[in-house]
Amino acid sequence: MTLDLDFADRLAATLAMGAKPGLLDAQKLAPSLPPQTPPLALLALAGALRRFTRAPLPTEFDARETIADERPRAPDALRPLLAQLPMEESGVAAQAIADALARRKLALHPYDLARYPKFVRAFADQLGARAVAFALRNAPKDAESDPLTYFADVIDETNWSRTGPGRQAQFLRTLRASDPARARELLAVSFAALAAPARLKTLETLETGLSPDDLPFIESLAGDRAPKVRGMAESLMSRIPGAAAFEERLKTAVASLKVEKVGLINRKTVVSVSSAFQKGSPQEYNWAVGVFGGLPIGPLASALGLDDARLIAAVAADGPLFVLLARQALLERRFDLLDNFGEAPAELWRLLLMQPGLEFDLPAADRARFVDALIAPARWRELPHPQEMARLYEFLRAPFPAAQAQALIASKAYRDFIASALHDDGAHHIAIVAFTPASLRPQLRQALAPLPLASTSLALALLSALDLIDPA
Amino acid sequence: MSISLADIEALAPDQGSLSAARKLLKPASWPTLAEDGAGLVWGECQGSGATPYRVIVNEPDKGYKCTCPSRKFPCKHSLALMWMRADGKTAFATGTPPDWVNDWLSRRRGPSVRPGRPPDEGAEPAAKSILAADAEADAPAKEADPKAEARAAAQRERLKAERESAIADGLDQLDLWLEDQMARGFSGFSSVAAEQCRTISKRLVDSKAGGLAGRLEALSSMLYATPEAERADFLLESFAQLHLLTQAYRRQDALEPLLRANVRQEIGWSQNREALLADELAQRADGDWIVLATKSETQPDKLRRHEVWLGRMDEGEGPRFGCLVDFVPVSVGASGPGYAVGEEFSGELVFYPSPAPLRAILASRRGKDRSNAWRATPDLAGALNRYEETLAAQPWIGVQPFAVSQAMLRSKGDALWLTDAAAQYGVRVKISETETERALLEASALDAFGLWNGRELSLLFAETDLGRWTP
Repeated sequence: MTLDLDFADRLAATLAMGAKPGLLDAQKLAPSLPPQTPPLALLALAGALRRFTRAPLPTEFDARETIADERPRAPDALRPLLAQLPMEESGVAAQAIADALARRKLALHPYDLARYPKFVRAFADQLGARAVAFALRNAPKDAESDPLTYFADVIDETNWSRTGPGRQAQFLRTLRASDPARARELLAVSFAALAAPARLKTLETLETGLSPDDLPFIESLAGDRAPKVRGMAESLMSRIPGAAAFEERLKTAVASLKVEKVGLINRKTVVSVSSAFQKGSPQEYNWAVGVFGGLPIGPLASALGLDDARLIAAVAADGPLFVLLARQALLERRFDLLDNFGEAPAELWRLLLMQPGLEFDLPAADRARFVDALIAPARWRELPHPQEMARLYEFLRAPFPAAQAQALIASKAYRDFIASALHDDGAHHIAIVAFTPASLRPQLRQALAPLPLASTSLALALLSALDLIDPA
Repeated sequence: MSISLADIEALAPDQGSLSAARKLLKPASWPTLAEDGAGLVWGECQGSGATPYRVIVNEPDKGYKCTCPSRKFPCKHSLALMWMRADGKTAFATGTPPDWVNDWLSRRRGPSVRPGRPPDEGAEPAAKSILAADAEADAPAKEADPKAEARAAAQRERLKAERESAIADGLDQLDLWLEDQMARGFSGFSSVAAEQCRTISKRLVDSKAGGLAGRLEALSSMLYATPEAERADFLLESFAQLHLLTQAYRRQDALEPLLRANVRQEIGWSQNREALLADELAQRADGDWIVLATKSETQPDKLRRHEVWLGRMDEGEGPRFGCLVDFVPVSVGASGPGYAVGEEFSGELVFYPSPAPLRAILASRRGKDRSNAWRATPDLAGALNRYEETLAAQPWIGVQPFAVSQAMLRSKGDALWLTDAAAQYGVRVKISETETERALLEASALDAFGLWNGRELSLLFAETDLGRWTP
């Protein structure tokens, strides 16, 4: 007995709307079947026949997608290590991996793009053209900003505006440090074509090297369609000497400060803040940010009859003005002034990075100087909280310079920590691995070796991963 | 800091756990016993399931983990591992922790029990003693009673006859139900599928045809996962399989032994580990195996089904694939199959009797004998032929392992196809939610493994020119 394929089609068509089993005519469905074939046998025959029917192949397939990605792939041995790490959590481990890949201009394995989609989307502009193409193809429908469409390893004046907001800002901020006028010109040409989040992020870069030369461009943004951009422009204007808003702010700031000489033998100038708020309260802090935040140090010192260094030396180390002046010195790239902070409290970097409302960024080269000036592990009484260490890494996006890393591993705070780290969940260890440059990783591995694997396994995996990507 | 017998007494949830752990102190129950030299100890304990349980103990903080489904913490396996460690009579190999141990360590958020703190402060701990467990184990076994054994055998026969009768009744009900669906029409079935399938599934459970009940219970969710345009075909094929099974069961005495055994398994007769190991029909395959895929899914009966798909790496005789299946109560909480994809070992699988053996248990396991790589054997045409041969012998098969060599993934619009190099033969590839399969479009030569249901291939493993791929 042979059955043609149409038999199954005919029965399926009949059964779609239903048929009383007694009324199914086997011979009509398949002449080769005996007339008394039971209905369930017809069903079984048709169903089994269908299972042997192979689906037809398309006559032609799509052409293969080609993505020009010059980057070599990271070693394959990295893949199992990535599988152990929390790559999809955007924490320090993921950032350190992305930064190391970017430093060494290495690409992820193509199969790992789909394995870590959140990681790839978060760091696409550091991971190469293939990652950007993947992020573009897999952008969430509700994404707040447009997905990246362009990637280049080297960002310069010809292509900066085609990259993502992060790399745009990074490029402009670095250029502002050496040639503020050129950076402003480039921004002014492309500004109108940028999306609102990119306009805001790139406008913020004018904080680096802000001067009266920037005033005409910033004033032209008074009619920008995004309220946040307009707000940023107003904030910048109020920090530029010569602008009407600036003079007003300076007058208010000076009126809020009291300069006096204290001491009988060693007379010392002290500058104190007088506000209506309780000293040290969040209200006082917010008020101080509004009054002094972003004010250039030079004009403020002159208005008080002091030079810049004496102003800083005269400010109480436990008040909000101290932090705001430190922030301003960094933005003005006045690293010479940081020495005048004297025995600045060891936690100044924490105040700068952890206080809400103080967000700021520095050109990559200045971040190393930030570490030089403010990170002194030898003076730490204990290791900072993992969240603080994560924020520090997020700000630096690179390991410490060797001296600070060495000081960290040798510090009493670290030694005390590992002596009592039996139950640590590993977050401290991960941050310390991220801060350690390639040359010191063997030393760190040695320090971790005797500790319980339960707390160090992730850190050791990260260490091995970084060794593969970014060897000494 | 090592674990003492007093610690074990303190950790044990009750005396029963200690007594049960006492019985597991034989090294023969533990194919693997190892330590890292710094207080981390791990082992594999052969339980009643298809796969051994994996046990880890971290001595410094007395942390522990076991893959068994017990709701006692620590379970008897963890206690036994600690016990062997504490009494110092058992040799532990020193080595680097395997991936499954590292995986646990990396997921760990802290010690399970803080040293020095009783497990339940304020509560009066139940008296538990190692001495009592030892005494219990040393007590003479009860003498066998021939009369009682005869009564039990007769009872078993009576129950078996009752079950056969119940199953026959269930099969009749199923056929009637199938005729009802034919009369009602397949086009409206989707809207009532869940309710209809649940009803007949319950009847089949009452008829003690658990295998058929499971098929019906799963049918509605499979139907909803099928594209609407293909649902009529899906129903035709699924209902056909059900009727073929009922007919095969009714005529089982005329079937050759392996097929008969397979039909009985499909209907719901099960074989425990001891019976399978003693079954002469059960095929055995000793060789090198690789874990090609693991799957876990929750069943409607509140059990989590773990599948471990193994591929043969050597050229020895016997089946090329095996599937270890274990069931764990959902109430136990999150648990995995305990095997990592890519893991390799040597060992003997014992297969449930079937003309195309697939489901198996792991009878023994050891370190890998040889250094070799997994390679898929037939090309696509060969793989399709092999599937159809199995289908012809057992027309009720569900998903089947499908391995092809030198294949390519190609796209056509949103769809993906796995084809041979000349694109003469091909199968449609199921695209997962994360679309990880698309990455394989970059590879030009795949030795691929997946599960084929006759319509779509779920790709699960591939060795490619770009390296190993897993979803």
